[in-house]
This record gives sequence, C-alpha cells and structure tokens, in this order.
Amino acid sequence: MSVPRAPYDPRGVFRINLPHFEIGPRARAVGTYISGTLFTLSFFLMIDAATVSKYSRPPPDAPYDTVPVHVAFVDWIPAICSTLGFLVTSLLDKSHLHAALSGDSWGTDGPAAWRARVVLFIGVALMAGGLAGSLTVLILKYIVNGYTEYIYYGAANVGMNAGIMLSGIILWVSQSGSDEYEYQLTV
Amino acid sequence: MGVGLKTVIFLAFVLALGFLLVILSCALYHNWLPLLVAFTFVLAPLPNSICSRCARADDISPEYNSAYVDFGRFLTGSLVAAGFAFPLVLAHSQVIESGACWMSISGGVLVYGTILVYSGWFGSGGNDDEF
Repeated sequence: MSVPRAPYDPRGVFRINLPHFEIGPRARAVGTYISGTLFTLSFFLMIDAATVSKYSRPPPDAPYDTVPVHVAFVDWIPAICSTLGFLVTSLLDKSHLHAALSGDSWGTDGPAAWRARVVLFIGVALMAGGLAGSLTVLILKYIVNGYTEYIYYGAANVGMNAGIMLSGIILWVSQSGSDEYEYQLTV
Repeated sequence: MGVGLKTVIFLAFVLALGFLLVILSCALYHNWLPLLVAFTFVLAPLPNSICSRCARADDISPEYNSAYVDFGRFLTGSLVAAGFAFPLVLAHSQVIESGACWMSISGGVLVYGTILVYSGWFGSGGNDDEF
C-alpha cells in the first residue's frame, strides 16, 4: 500500500469528463458541413493576406519606394501548426475514446487510454500553439515594428488560426454525436 | 413525363446560364482566372457521391464506418466555401474586377444549384441525403 491512490477516477481518459453531446444525425451532418466550410474560409483568409501582400504596390505619392513588409514564410508557421493540430484531433477515433471513457476492461487505464490522452494533448497543444504563434507574429512583426497600415496581414493570421480552432471544435462536437447507423439501431 | 421533361429543360437552361455567367466574367475582362470557380463548383458534389459509395460497399461487414461519409461532407463544405472565397480573394487583391467576382460567384452558384436540384429530383431515389 505504498503507492498513493490516484486522486481522480482512473477509469476515465480525462480527469474532467468530456461533456457528451446528444445530437442527432441531422445535426451531425450539418456540423460537419459547417466545419469544412469554416476550415476552408479560414485558410482563404490567410491566402487573401498573402495575395494582397504579393500584389501590393508602394503608396502613390512615393511610387519608387519598396513595400516595407510582406507576408513571408514566418507568417505561415502558425498556420502549419494549427493545421497539423486540426488533423491530429480530428483523426482521433471518437468511438475508441468513448469506449475508453465508458470503462471497458481493455481501455481503462491501459495503453489505449494513455495513447488517446497523449494524442489529444499533442493535437490541442498544436492548435493552441498555432493561435499563440499567430498572435506573436501579429505583435512582433506588425505592431512592434509599427506597420500599422499592414496590420491586416497579422489580423488575418490570427483570424485564420482562430477559425481553424473553431472548426476543430465544431467537428469534435458534431462527431461525438451518434451517427445515422447507431441512431437507427437505438430507435 | 411532361413535368419531368419541362424540369430537365429548365435545369439545362439554368446550367447553361451559369456557365455563360462564369465565361462572361472571364471573357469580358480578359482574365481567365475566374474559370477555376466553375471547376470548383462542378467538383463540389463529387466527394459526397464517391464517399457514400465507399460507405455502402462496407455494408456487408458488421463494422459500419461513417468516416467516409463524414469526410465527404467535410470536403463538400470546403469546396463550396472555396468556390465562394476564391473570387473574393482575387477581387480583394485587385487581380480581377469586382464585377467579374460577382458574376463568377453567381454563375458558380447557379451551376452548383442545378447539380443539387438535379440529383435531388432524379438521382438515386430513396436516398434523401444526396448533396
């Protein structure tokens, strides 16, 4: 009895139980559509900033100046992090997660639950890191250097990463509902 | 029969109108980039049909896998959003005129709506979730 008991319920994957959303197959379909739309729209926000930066011209009163700041690879690093995090969290199988959550004998605190925990942690950390990185780019590249007229590039970056995070949340919620087949079985 | 024939003719007319709008938006401004919008909207119904086939082929096995269907829905949503966003991006950076942007968007919506309505009325009956 030297090992202290865990202070939380070891049967769950998470210390705080995930809220379980009861949504039907219709809401599941609509949520998946909305998630895909939001994902692409946030990507196009970033692409828009890059395109505007590519085609930006110097101000008309000084036509021979160079444009001081462009969207470079640094601006895309948070986007890469967010996209990887989105992929990781959405590739995690929700039914396995629920099996582990419901306290099956093989998924209690075994390797499956452990793996699910680590994978989910990595995914969410990548998404949050992308959001934080986009804020960093906005502040360090555009606000501190005083490029106030080019602040749209940084703001689009933040909006893109927030949109990907929101899309991941919507996808997670809509996937955790029952799908059509299960629904038919229960009805 | 008569109603079906009229509907088909009407849908074909709308489809031609949509393509006309998209091609006009390119030809009037001598910039053929908005033509990509038409491809996006034509490709938009494809993922759902392919993925529903994949899920249906799995019906024999007891493990029903809805991942294909969900992935198809995700792709459809993203393709439709890309069709709307692409001309807006081009117009924002002044690569194309805003008139061309709105013409190509409305043309693409007409094309996509035609495909939706056609598959909803005449496509594989019984399946009500065909987009």
